[in-house]
Amino acid sequence: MTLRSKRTISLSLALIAALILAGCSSSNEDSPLQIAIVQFAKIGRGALEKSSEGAAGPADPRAGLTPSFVAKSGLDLLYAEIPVRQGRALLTIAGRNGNSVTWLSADKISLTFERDQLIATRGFGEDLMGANPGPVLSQIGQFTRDLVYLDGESQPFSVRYRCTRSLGARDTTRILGQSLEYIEIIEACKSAASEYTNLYFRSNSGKILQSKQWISPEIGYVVIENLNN
Amino acid sequence: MGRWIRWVAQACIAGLSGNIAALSFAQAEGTYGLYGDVGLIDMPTARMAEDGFLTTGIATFDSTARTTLNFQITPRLTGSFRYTTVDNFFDDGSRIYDRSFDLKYQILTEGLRWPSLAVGLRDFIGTGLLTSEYIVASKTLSPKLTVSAGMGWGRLGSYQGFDNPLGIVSDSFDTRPTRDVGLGGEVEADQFFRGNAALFGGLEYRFNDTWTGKLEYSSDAYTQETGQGSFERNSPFNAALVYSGFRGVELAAYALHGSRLGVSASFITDPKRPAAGPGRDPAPLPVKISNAAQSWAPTLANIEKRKARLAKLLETEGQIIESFAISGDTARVRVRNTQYRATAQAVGRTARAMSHAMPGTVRVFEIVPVENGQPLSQIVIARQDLERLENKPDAIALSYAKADIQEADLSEKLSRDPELYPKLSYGLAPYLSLGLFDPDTPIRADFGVSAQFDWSIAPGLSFSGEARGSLFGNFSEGDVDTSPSPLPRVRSNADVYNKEGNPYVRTLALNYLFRPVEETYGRVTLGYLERAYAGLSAEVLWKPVDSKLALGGELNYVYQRAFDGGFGLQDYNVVTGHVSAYYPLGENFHAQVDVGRYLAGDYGTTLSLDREFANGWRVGAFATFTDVSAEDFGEGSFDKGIQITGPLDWILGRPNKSTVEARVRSLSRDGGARLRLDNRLYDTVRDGHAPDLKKSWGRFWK
Repeated sequence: MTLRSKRTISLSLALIAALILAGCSSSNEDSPLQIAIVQFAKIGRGALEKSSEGAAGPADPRAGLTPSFVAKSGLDLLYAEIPVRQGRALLTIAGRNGNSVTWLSADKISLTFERDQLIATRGFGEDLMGANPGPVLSQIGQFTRDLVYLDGESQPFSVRYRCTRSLGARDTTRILGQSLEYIEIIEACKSAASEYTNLYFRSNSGKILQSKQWISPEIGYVVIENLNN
Repeated sequence: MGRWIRWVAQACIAGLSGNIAALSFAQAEGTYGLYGDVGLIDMPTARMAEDGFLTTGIATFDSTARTTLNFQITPRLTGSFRYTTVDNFFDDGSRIYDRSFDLKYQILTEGLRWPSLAVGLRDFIGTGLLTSEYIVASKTLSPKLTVSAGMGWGRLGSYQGFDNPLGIVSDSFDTRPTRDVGLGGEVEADQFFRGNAALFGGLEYRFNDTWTGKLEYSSDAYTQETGQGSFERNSPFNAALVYSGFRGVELAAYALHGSRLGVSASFITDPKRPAAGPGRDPAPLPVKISNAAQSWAPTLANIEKRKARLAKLLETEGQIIESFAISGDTARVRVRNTQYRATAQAVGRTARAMSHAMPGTVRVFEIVPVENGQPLSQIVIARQDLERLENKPDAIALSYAKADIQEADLSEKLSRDPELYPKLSYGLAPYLSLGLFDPDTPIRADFGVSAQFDWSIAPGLSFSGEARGSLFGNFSEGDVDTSPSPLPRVRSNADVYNKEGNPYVRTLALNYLFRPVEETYGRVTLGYLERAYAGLSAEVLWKPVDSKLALGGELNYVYQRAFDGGFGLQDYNVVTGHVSAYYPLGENFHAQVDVGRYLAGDYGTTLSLDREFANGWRVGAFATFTDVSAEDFGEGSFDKGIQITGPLDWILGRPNKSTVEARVRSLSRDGGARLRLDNRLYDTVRDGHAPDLKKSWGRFWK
């Protein structure tokens, strides 16, 4: 039940590097070997947790949840999946600031939305540090969206996307076994160097049931499902 | 033992940049050659690696092995440090160990119609096994084909050489003076571009993204090697096949001079591209919106409650509250950061935690980063700015502009936390030390156990120590330096310590850090300061919070310690000390000048220049010039070396405050030697000051 699962492998690689680098601290100076070993222990545990979840990736955190159970719990629940990382998790609301809402998972991944549009993430690595959302989703047409990231030296840079928002087909989807009608909203966004397409499934009442939204080249998209229906 | 350690260590040096490179994809414009920099095979090109690339290359052919650390210092300037061995080099069949430095400067960048042009010096300091100078042009003829041609002097003018065309300028260019190898270590400028010149050239053809072929005409006659019978040179032509299909690694195979085969591996690190991007730090708490109308009474009990709440929130962030106060609409917290390399990130996390823990009546957060019990600065943040700017596209620039970074208030009366002071902490840990490029034993390793303790008595006052026991390694195998020296043996007796002192007390000292007056920092250390010296060390540093310039002074009175690693002292004692100036040159470079008296009683100055990356990487060089003559100094002529610092959070991709430091110095001799203190002031102080905070402010919101 984690958005971080795929990390284990790359961290182990990093660890090897750390050990070797630690070993290369110069003569008669302290080496952070100890730190590396502590990290090793942590990573070892993480790897065990993952293997217990089976080879097919982490278990679906929605398993066993029903719409009535969610309703009774009184919790706001969001299900999120990072296809590139095979990571999945449940998130709850951790804070509201003006029009934006921040959701947080148990393993400290956060997603922040404004007008149902993703404006920030934390905990992924190449995080979306901030953004100006487009107009409300009921509004179709053209707009610009700036996405802000940090580079490898923690210096901020911004990428401006020109987006065209249009309506797609009407259909039904299933969330926790419940059939729900939606109309698709398609956002095609292009910058000088890259492009992405966000999708939103909007219910008749204007609620976003599911969406697929762009984070960054490294992380790709996050697929989100609102479990409070 | 020697051989495997050599290989382990070569792999290890490679790891210094290499294995990390595998995580951070890096691809040079050109490919690397046998000299470990971007070039053909033995011949250079005018191409450069990408700015900042740090590459370790291992190349071996026939009886020669070259290990090169190459750094792209600026987009146009590249530098290399190389360690070369040639078997059967001397008449008695023994091997030569040689260290060399190169520089290459790109005068002209390639244009549509003109080639790139570079001038270079190889092995321009020292004994000069590989010494040569060249000027070379490279032109891309098609996206796949690059051609290079140049003229070389010295070693690169040794095959089919002709009269030096520079002879037109002055007759002095006609003959190359024989290098006065002497003790090495000196720039041999009187040889530059002198004597016979020769032409060289070659082609580089990129078959596809992973395979590259190279062909060169070499102007290196391998005179010495063939003369010794250790090398056969049947043809001036060399060929190479390069595979760059692995991320950050380049492998190459060579056919050399119609007689020999060779292989090389280059491990490329791009410090600008960490393995996990800006880091997979767990998400912070989002900012909590306050209610200014909420009523709250600042009673002692209420303040304590808020402090406890804040402490709990900061616990997971590795931030420890040293003191806390609420007065009027301001909450002030002194925090010790144990988790984040960038102070800006620690401050950002603390600010967000305060938005949760502080009552609505508090409108201003004053966050005081504390190092060793001493406040470094005071960062004043309006709560409203925090709320308004969170997740906004321009949050980083605006929040820095709105934060007020001030001198810490030293008059503040502090309530000492009984849980923090006094406090005893201790630990046992493995350690691994490496000594690289010693002339006799090029690679030395030592693995053992280290026991440490720290007794924090009061803010700034602590008693701490470390003892080490070596379990295995070859540090103690070196021959004790018995060469006659007119200088007191202040460092050249390191081997005696390794041989006679195991286990040993590395440090045991009382440390006192304090703030004498505003803008200044002080340190006094008394006890066993390092393995070889004990005594009293005092330091003062002037560094205003928004100043780039820092000035410092250090004075030490030390006795040489007994070789057995115990508490005994020897007769030798000295007053040593320096005045220092520290200054960042632009965004990317940092200079330090130390002037003073060194351990052997010699007077002089140390210059250090580092390329600094905002993510904590540092690559630099230092050199010390004292009134000790080159003859008295011995091999190397003066103390110099390169230093590399790699931040652990860069490697791990998660928060970590530690860095890994490597220093490769030419030789540990007695001239220009300084005390090796663990806790000099500048590096910890600057982290909490405006210039460094600004550089890493992007992490405030991370």
